[in-house]
Amino acid sequence: MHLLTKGFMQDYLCWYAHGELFVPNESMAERVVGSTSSASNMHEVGNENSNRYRNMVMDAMRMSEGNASEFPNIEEPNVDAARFFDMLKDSNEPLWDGCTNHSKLSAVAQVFTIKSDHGLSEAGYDKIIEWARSILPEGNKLKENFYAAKSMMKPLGLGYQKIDMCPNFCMLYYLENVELTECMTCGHSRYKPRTGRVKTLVAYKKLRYFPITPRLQRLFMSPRTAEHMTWHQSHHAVDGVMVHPSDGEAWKHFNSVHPHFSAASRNVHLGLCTDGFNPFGSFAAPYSCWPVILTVYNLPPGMCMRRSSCFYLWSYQVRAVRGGI
Amino acid sequence: MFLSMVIPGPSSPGRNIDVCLRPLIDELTQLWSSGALTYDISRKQNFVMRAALMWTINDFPAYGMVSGWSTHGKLACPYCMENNKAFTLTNGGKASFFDCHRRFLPHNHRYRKNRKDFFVGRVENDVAPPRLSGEELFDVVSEYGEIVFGLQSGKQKFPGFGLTHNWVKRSIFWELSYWKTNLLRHNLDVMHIEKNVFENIFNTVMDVKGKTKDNIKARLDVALFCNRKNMELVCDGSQVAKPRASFVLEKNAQLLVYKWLKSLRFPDGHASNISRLVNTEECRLYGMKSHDCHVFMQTLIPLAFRDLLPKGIWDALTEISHFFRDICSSKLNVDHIERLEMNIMETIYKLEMIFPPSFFDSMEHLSVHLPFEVKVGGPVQYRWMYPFERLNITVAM
Repeated sequence: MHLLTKGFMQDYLCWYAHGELFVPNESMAERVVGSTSSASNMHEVGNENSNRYRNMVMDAMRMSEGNASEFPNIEEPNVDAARFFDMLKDSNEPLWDGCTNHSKLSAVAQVFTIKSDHGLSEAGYDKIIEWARSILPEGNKLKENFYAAKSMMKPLGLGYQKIDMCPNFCMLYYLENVELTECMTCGHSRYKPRTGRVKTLVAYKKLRYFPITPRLQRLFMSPRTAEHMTWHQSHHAVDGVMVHPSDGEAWKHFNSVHPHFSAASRNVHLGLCTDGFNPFGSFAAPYSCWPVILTVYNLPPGMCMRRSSCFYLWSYQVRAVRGGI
Repeated sequence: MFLSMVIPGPSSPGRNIDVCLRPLIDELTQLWSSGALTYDISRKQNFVMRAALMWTINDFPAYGMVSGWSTHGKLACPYCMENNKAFTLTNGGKASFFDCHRRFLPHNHRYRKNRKDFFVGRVENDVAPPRLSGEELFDVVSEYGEIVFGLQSGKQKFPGFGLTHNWVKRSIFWELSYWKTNLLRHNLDVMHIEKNVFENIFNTVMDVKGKTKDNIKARLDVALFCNRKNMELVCDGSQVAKPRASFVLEKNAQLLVYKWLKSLRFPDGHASNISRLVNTEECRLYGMKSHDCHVFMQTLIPLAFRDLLPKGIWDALTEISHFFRDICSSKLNVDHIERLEMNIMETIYKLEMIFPPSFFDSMEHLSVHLPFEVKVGGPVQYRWMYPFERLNITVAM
């Protein structure tokens, strides 16, 4: 009622009373400078939920900052990493001339988060963008629709592969079997029969595979996580007290059996979880979809079971699954 | 946490999950042997990053799919394996893990000679089953051949399946060269075990119709396997009466508990509003989530049944409640865990002397192995399914 009669508090842009951290609204360049003290970094992590995808993209932009002075042998990024960083820089132009707090990329990233968090349809996305463009200054660089925005995001990587599979789980049409059109075990056809004038071949079942190497590499390319990736070795463990899997026997045993692996603290320890669930809700027709999720145990306790920003893709995928394939 | 694969439905892949995991395992093998050139932004260096899979986290049915040791039937326990003394209940028709735990006791313990309170007339002389190492397991699994995945995978049974072993396949994870050196390969999911143990206890004590483990069939089995005259069915002409067991609350005591639950208030964010789930007229709880079971198990069980249940029974329930509370703590003392390993045995004996054999399904048994996993793998909160299940909820919404 109060809201109706008195309206919303003016100038309450940062919801500090609702847990949002107060960030002085200065230029964006300053805002994205990575703070190197771990305490303030942890703070940021706590606040990241509201805008995961944006953080994922923006993190990478801080690459030019950071305190390199303590490590003497500074190297240039390798070819793949350099290409990525260059691409980021390109898309980092301001949203319109004179805009200080939004770049072309950050704007799209932010709307993507909203889209995936609230299950916005593609048409809904396009309408909102249409409206946003009409209130932005002339000559703004906001991508005009979802398709264009997606094309812009695509080269930034972290894509996925669709691998056709036999609907009876006999085999994957993968590597040397990629050309086959019938299952080698049960003889089931790979593609659905074409109907009408449809020309494309549609597979009965598609496995979506998100390659893990680029995702792990991205953890090291983002200042938000990179310095924490050695936490498992650098933290001070109290004898006889366990606070992290790295204090457990299994971890220590593994390190002693594979000394060449444990010697480099940046090597990654993973956990794998898989669980069936029904994307259509418990009251719908039975359907069981099995995500396979990996956890990076290198990270400190507060970060290691936290969902990474890559999850925007996940909810997107489930909607694709719901779509029928 | 990040997503690595989505295996589509509409049915669960079952043991064929290995087919789907192939790309992931290939990539993990590659990351282990040769690694990937990576740029570390915090030190501004290029280095070769390698990765190893420590363990998997699954609920119990998925444990079977991933590990290759079927988690159904009498040989469900992947730790005790074929050395388990579980049996099928004659009337209940389900596997019971009743009296499987005395073998963990020291040789001269008085419980070992107890012919009265456990399986009637049985004296336990066996020693605890050996816990096989990764290498030993790998040798065992390697003896069985490959299976052909697909529709027929369920019909290919290795000789002796269900009798001398429960292996259904050689899991794809053995292809990782380091997998056999891992101490803990698959995690038992504490979240589901705790939830199921809680539901068993609560439904039995509150005598929830259709859910209680203390039903007519259970009483018939009590007459067969135990020496508990006061729990056997009483035939009175054409009618059969089920005398109330000591661990079941009377109707008015049940009502007291539900009314107390109805009036409960929790601090913000501690649990969902449990009072909303109570239906005092029907004497039922509706829509308990796993986390509600978690809170109920750890904090409410001792309070709810205090002075309503006989002292001995209340003690046993409180002990198991404390066991789960201790094991779930985020900071663990190694000495403390060793004590927990002893205590949970004691608690299970106490429960075995109270509840009928049908109460002891695989979940109650698995809690015996939890302290070992904690000791080896570290705190539970990194190895249970809460974060993953939460993720699925947000996605499914």
